Amino acid sequence: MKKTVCLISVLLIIAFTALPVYAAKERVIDTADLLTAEEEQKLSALAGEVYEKYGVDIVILLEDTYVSSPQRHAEDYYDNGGYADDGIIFYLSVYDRDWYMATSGSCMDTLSDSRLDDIFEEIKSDLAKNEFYDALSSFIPLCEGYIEAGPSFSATPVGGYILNMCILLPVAFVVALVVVSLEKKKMNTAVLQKNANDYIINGSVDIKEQKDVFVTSTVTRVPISQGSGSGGGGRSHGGRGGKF
Amino acid sequence: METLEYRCPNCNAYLVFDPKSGKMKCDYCLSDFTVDEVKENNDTRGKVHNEGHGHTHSEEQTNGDYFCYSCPSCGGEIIGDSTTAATECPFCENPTVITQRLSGEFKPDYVIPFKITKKEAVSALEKLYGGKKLLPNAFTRDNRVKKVTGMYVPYWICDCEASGTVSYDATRVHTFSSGKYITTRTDFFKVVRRGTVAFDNIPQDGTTKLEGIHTESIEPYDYSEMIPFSNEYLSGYFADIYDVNSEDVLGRVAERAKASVKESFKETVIGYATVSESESNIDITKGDIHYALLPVWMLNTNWNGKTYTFAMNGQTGKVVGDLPVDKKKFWKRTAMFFGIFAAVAAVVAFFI
Repeated sequence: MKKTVCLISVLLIIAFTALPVYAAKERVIDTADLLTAEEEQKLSALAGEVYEKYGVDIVILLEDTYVSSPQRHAEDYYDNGGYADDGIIFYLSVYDRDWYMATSGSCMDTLSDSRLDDIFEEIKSDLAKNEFYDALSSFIPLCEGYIEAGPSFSATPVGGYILNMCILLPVAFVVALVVVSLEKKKMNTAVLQKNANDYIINGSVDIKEQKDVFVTSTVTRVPISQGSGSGGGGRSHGGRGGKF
Repeated sequence: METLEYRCPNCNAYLVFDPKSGKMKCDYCLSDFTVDEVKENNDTRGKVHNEGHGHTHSEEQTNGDYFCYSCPSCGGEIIGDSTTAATECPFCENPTVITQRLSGEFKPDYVIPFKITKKEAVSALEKLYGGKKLLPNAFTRDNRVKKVTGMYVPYWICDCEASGTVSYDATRVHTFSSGKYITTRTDFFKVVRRGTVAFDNIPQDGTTKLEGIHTESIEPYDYSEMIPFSNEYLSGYFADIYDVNSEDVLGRVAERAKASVKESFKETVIGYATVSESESNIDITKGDIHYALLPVWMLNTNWNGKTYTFAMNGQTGKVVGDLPVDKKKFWKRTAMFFGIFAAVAAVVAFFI
């Protein structure tokens, strides 16, 4: 009897703690069991607040398995999890101590690569000491701070503009050179005739024999490609990763 | 040297061939006569001057590349080279036809008279210069456009027949998807065409004074207006006799005829994805070759040690020209366009 009561109460606790999490999106996924249930809840609450305010999903994914590409794994997890267009996923694997932060949508600007570096700098020491809760509890506010501040001007837009111009200016020069070279070409209109078509006597082309003989045949087979592996399709991401 | 000039029976000024009316015209009293009238009428018929042979003019020599003789009108000295058949006196502009040069094997079979006037040629040349942003300013400074000259150029007009065989490697490609695979089947064919093509009146210039590239560029001439040669059409123009033998132009004629044969045959190779010629064997049998004088308006300009030629078909008005390029202007314009495109790029870069 005691066992049954115990079991029911445990189930109830799980139900009450778990249900609200499932009802909303799960933003803290701890398959490696690095956090206590209480810690998970606190972090979820923090991430939930950020979502309420900015419509941005901050997702934390803690695992203890091998993945070949932390970046692909993090991006796919975010794309397939039904999260908002704007957001960031922080992937941590204690298996080989990989970390990766992948950003989507507006977060590619607000959480630019250089800002991600700064964020990681802040939490690096905690992670090294395996104090995951401390690290993550400062990770979320750090992200929120940058999201609130908006995109930095020195980082992406102007940098992107200069980059674009670096490509466009040589293109402009080549196009200008082509235009003037065409003008130069018009300076000499003399060309030798390629044939004597003007002087063929009308109807004098007389084909006396035509043969079209089949010689051989080759066959090649190519497997039909199944499209790209990630379900996210062509969604683009920004991000930073490494070891801790 | 036997020369000829045509005189107006009314005022004794010289008669020249007028492209617009197709008649012999006196620029002085504005009388005009058909070419036939001039031929038949004793008063207008060309006055033959037969100087030379044992005459007092010691300079008059036809040895070497040059000759000179005194103008029948003003006595001035006219100098021509070994191929000059019609010219004008540099002093009194009296038009002279050197009939001795146009006799025997050098007597042309046909002529196409000028149809384009000098005025039209000058405006065509001005149009060619106009709008050319890369033309050096000094090139047009001397107003040389007025010096454009009407020239009867010696041509060999060749008939020929080509017969031969051309082989092609051709492929057809079928693509279909079955199950998990895309299958591409390529069928290879050996295609052969044998036949003949006949050509009529392929023109090739018989002079070393003009580049083939220029005479070929102003083709074609309309042979329906080609008429038996007569000296009258040359009055008022320059004319040259050939200095390239007909045998020497046949190579180029055959080259062009072969290209046409290949094109005509290839048009019959249809229904393939790719066709490439693998072998060809074409024989050209030459037919009649005629010697004709065809009209060209031309102007050669020397510029920085290079000759730039303007040539215009004197019958159809087709123009060809090569002009010098001012290097400074070339780079200035490139910089200007670069500026414009860079400004566009600066705006575009905002949006991408």
